[in-house]
Amino acid sequence: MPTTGLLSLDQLLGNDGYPDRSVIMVIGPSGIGKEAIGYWFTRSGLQQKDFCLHVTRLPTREVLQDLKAFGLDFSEKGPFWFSSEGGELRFDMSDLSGISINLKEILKKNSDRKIRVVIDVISSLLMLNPPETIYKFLTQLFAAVKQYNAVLIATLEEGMHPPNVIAAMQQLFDGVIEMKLYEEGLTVLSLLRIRKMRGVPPQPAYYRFSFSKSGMEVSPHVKR
Amino acid sequence: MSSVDLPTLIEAFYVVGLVLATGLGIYAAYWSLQIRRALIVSRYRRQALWGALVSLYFAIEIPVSYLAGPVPSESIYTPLTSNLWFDLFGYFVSSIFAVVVLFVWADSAVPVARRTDPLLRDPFRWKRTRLFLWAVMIWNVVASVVAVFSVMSGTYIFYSPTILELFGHVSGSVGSLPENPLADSVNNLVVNGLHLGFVPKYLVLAVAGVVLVVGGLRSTDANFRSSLRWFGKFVAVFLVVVSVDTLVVIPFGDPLAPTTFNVFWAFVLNLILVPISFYFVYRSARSLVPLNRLAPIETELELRH
Repeated sequence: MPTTGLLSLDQLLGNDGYPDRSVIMVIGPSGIGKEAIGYWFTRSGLQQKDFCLHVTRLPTREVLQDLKAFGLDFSEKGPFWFSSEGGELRFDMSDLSGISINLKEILKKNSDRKIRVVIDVISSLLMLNPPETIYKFLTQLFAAVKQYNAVLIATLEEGMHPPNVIAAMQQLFDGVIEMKLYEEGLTVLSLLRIRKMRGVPPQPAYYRFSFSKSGMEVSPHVKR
Repeated sequence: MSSVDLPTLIEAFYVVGLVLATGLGIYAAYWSLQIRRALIVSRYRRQALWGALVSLYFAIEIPVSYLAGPVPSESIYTPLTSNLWFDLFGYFVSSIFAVVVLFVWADSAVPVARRTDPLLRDPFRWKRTRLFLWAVMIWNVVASVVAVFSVMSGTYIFYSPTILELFGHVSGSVGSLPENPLADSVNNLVVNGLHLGFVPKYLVLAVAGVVLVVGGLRSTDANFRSSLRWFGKFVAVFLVVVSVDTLVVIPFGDPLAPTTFNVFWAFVLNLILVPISFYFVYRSARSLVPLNRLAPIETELELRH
């Protein structure tokens, strides 16, 4: 099983990392650090010489800048960038079929290696296309991911989509990691929970989390 | 305002309103800082930080300007103490810092607007525009301070008799200038200010406001839009408060003689509007991110675990 790249998250998932051939959703509000889970997953894959693909609507240089805030640096040895600017392949938000064809092509070409995919475009695609179109697009993409023995992590923005769309999206994924901000008395806490994960018993517990240069620290949340 | 007698009860209500507004402003700043602490990504943290500083600044500035006593125009244009540098600092804090802090807040919010636009559009090419606006803002701040220094210190660095005379004709105060040092100072300051950039400073703020509105319309993040809407309401009500102070209290043509009637209504309007404006700041701070509450059933499950 591919490690998450974060020891604490691996432990939450039973020390095994993400399930093989799985698609995982990380959902949370803007700024909470969803992307960091993807960055550490990619970093771990690069260390293990897996083929890592990063699909982003941002220019590559902006992602590299964001990475630095987490103490990560992909500028020398990085993933395969499928980005709007500066990547190996140019990502065009308005060309959904082009995205689909390119992704399948890349997966096929690298099918002899372990593959890790991180994708941060689903929220934007959902805003620009009817949800049904995106469900269809993702269903086909996920089938290809599983066919080529890959693991995919996708981020989804909370606060951009209606609850029914989010609920329907969650059905498509094998695992859902939820990151949210909670108000407790006069403090704001960032809490995480594993809403579902294939092969892992349901976990209702909430965990406090924080990021540092060495990764993510997680501790059980005890209500005061 | 204190130069005009007002019914004590109204003044007491006004003070209560100010305390309420200041409390709300500080509470809003507290929540912004709490949210900042919980966020990871620097651009969102920066937006929360500057939101907190804006709340804090206005929460402190309003009661301080009330306690300072004189009407706002006097407090700005005439020396309050015999210490020039202290007065200059007071002028900077009361008149310039507000514009700067609002601009920096806007500058921190535009990148968030861009990131939450699915098409990643940079409103009005903000990445470049901001550099120009920053340059104008810095120039204006320096120029304004120098202009005020020139008046307060009596050095009249930028004194221009021709323009001053022209201004005197326009304002109808020709002839009274030499006998009226305050009017002289005010006129000189206005002339120098127009020369050196009081107006561009506000234009910069207006441009940033337009950019934010466009960015907000393009953004698909409901929280960001909501926060921006509440902040817009704060700015709108605050502008009304400032207008009330400058237009109602100071009758046209005689800046030194506010009437009891006008001051009374200014007090009443401020009493209502200032707390409302700070309620909007509070709502803006709380809307920065979706804040959830753990449901009792979830807490129970969590403790069992």
